[in-house]
Amino acid sequence: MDNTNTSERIPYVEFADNANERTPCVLVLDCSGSMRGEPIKQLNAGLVALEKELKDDIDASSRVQLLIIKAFGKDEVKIESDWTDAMNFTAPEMEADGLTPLGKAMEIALQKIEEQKCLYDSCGITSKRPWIFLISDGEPTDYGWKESAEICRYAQKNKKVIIHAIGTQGANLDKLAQFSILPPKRLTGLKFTEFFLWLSRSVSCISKAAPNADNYMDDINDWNEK
Amino acid sequence: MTKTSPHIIATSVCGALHKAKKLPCQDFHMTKTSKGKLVAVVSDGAGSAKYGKTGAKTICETICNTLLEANIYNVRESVIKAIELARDKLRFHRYNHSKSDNELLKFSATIVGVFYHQNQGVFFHIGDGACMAFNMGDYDNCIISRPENGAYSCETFFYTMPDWMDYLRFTPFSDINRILLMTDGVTGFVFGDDFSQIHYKFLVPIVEYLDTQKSKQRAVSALRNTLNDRKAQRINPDDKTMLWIKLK
Repeated sequence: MDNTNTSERIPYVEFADNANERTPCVLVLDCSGSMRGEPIKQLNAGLVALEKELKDDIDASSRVQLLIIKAFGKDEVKIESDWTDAMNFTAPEMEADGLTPLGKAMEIALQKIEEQKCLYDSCGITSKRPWIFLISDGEPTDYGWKESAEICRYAQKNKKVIIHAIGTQGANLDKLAQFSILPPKRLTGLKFTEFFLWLSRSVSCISKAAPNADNYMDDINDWNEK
Repeated sequence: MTKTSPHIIATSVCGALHKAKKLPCQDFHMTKTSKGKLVAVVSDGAGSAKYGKTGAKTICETICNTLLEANIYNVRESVIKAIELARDKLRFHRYNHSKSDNELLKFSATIVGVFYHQNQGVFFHIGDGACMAFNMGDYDNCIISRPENGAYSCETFFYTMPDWMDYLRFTPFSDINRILLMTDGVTGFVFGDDFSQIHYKFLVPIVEYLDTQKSKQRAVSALRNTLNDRKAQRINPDDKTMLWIKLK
């Protein structure tokens, strides 16, 4: 390589920003009855922190897209916040009630990702591999969750998606682990805010990362129980 | 340089992501000319591969050292042989502890290359990055070898993969006078999202500057400073390589 030490640049060059590229991120949140009280309060505080952090990041705010799915009630699943660019994302206020149909919620997450990928392709929008974060304080309660978990692992093996399972205190990590080919993580105490700040930094980094740069995730020590 | 020798300007700059991690630039480039033949290769070592830079350097050196013996009629076979030779080198590389194919992915790198002789040329390409061949000023009719990504933009293909032959592409061209090779850190500046459009406001000033700058040292320096521009690094923090060839 040349060692000339001048500051001369080629004049009149304009850098086009590929602002269209998206990094999709799905949060599948356990909002069952056991999350009542302090856990759901901390989860909501974390979502507000995620909103602020992503909006403050000029690149991530236009590149990251969020989708929030809630698992609750009598094995019910609800799209709490449909695909939204981070710049337009408003943290929903989650409420806790009922059971934990995580299998059903994860299958809907995969379906929504598939639909969004078709939309990107039809519009000529490139995208990074989607992330799903499954966050629970318990274990799946819906019939057939094991089949759903197998579908998730299959999708991940086929590079359709990257799935991270996160359990809070009391969560059955052995069961959550079945949804991903990556080992599950345990949230220290109720450090939802620390987790969502990490998520924001990581998804921001990935949204700007080079191809195959899959090791640019931020340090997880702020929230991960060792 | 003789009057008929091509004029070549090339540089590789380290991207912001690798700088932040105190890692060296994983891109590599090389050119060789002899008896009217030209071989040029740029390669992007995968950020996720431990020895991506080594893989990039190995393929550039191997292709440049072997392809000058080829001609336009057997160049495809020669490229395949050169890649097989590079893979052999990596099988027995000191960083390949098991001396097997299993560890080749630790050296993953793309290939963006060109062979040119007597007004005829061919691009050979695995993975992302891009090649362009055109006549000066006539950008609308340029021959392009486009990047090949997987389903997502964060995935591409490497010569170290077991099925690399499935991803090796050749694009012939003739009667042109300028060639441009680049890694994926630059393609987003040169092309629109679906690669059917060219960003003239990036390409034309660079092409015209390199075409008219008489000092090679100054041209390389200006190209490097331009690719290192703060805005360029913010938009795309990947390593960036451009290799410019003026043939006539």
